[in-house]
Amino acid sequence: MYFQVKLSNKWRALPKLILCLLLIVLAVLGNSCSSNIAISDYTGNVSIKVVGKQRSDHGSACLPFATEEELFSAADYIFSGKITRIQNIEIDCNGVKLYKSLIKMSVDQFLKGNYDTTDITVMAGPVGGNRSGADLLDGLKKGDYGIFMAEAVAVDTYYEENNCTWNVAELCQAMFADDDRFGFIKESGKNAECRTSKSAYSSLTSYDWESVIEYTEKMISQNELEEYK
Amino acid sequence: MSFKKIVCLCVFSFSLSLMLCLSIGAYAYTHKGLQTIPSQIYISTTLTDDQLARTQDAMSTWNTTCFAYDHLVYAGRTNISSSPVEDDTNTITFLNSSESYLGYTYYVNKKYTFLWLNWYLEEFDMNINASKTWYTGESESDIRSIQYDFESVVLHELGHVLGLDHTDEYSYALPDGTFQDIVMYSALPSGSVVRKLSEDDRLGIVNLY
Repeated sequence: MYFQVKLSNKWRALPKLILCLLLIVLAVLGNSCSSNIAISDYTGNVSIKVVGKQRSDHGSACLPFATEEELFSAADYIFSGKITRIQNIEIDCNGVKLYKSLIKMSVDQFLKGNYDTTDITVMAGPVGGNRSGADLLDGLKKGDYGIFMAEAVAVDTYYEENNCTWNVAELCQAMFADDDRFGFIKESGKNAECRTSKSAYSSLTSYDWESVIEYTEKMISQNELEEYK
Repeated sequence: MSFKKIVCLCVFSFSLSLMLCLSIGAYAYTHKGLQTIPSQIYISTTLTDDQLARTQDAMSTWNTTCFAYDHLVYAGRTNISSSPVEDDTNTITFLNSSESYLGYTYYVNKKYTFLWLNWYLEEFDMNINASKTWYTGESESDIRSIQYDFESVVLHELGHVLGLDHTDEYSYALPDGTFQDIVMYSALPSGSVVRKLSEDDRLGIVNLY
């Protein structure tokens, strides 16, 4: 009798167990399906997949240095907005891997340029660590509010890497104007944080949020004046 | 001595040592250095003879300024024209890339220390971005304002190979009040030459090896 009861309990639990296993399998399958990003316009062997973590330990770069004026001039869009999603991706170009992040932002206000939507996805890449040991982009997170400087990506902007080409416009509408200096993040309270070497913005004396807005507007109007001349 | 005093003393000593460590210089590290010394470096045939000569000059700068014997050794030419490639050889290539970088060092293979706390570099590949406008001459004064100095960028990338990370500061103040450009600053302006190691770069390597 005792064994019969035990057996019956086991059988009763079995459907629940199967259901749980099925859900786990579905979750794993769903996750693996959604981890690939399909692109259609490319040459060579290009595949793009979503990865969990930004690979800042992959390597280190030396970047071209742009002056403040060059930086504000290169940015087609300068806008304030909030990060709503960050997707870290691995792009495999014939075996050579690039690590990027697709940063989706809801735009609050365009200070320069105008993109006909309230959402914009910007592609950015790791640039290697700074003194604090973390990559500059590592610090960005969902919910961050700030001023961002981005270069527009035209419809047919082709990336070339290791004998592969692929159309960047399939992934994003813009790229940060400078990998190292993408803008300012508003910290809780009033201070702005600029994830770069401070000396890069020599005319910015205070990192108070109001000063950062004032500085950005001043740089944009100076830049527009130069272009007008 | 009371327990409270001992705790205060410990906190004070720790803060003092931390302050001393931080005030050594601007240099920082990505890894613990080369796993194999000397490191044999192959130069791809995608580099011209001038570029090869500038690369050898950059290797020589690190070797003569920081070490008693050569740590970076030119091993010859290779036909490899892809980067990075996991093939147990350290290769420098000159290839087109749409990435914004001037030069990029890939940490291809790492030898992790106990508990994966840090790592030594076992294999690297380096690419200098052929899509940029380069100056590869020997004379420092002939560079044009739109050109990037090949040797300065290779010198910077070799700093990554040896273990150095980027610095936040671009210049280092000497006790006599003069300033030196730091090779390991993250960016290089066009028309600019940084072919000598600053005292900060040198100290970073000397303290690592």
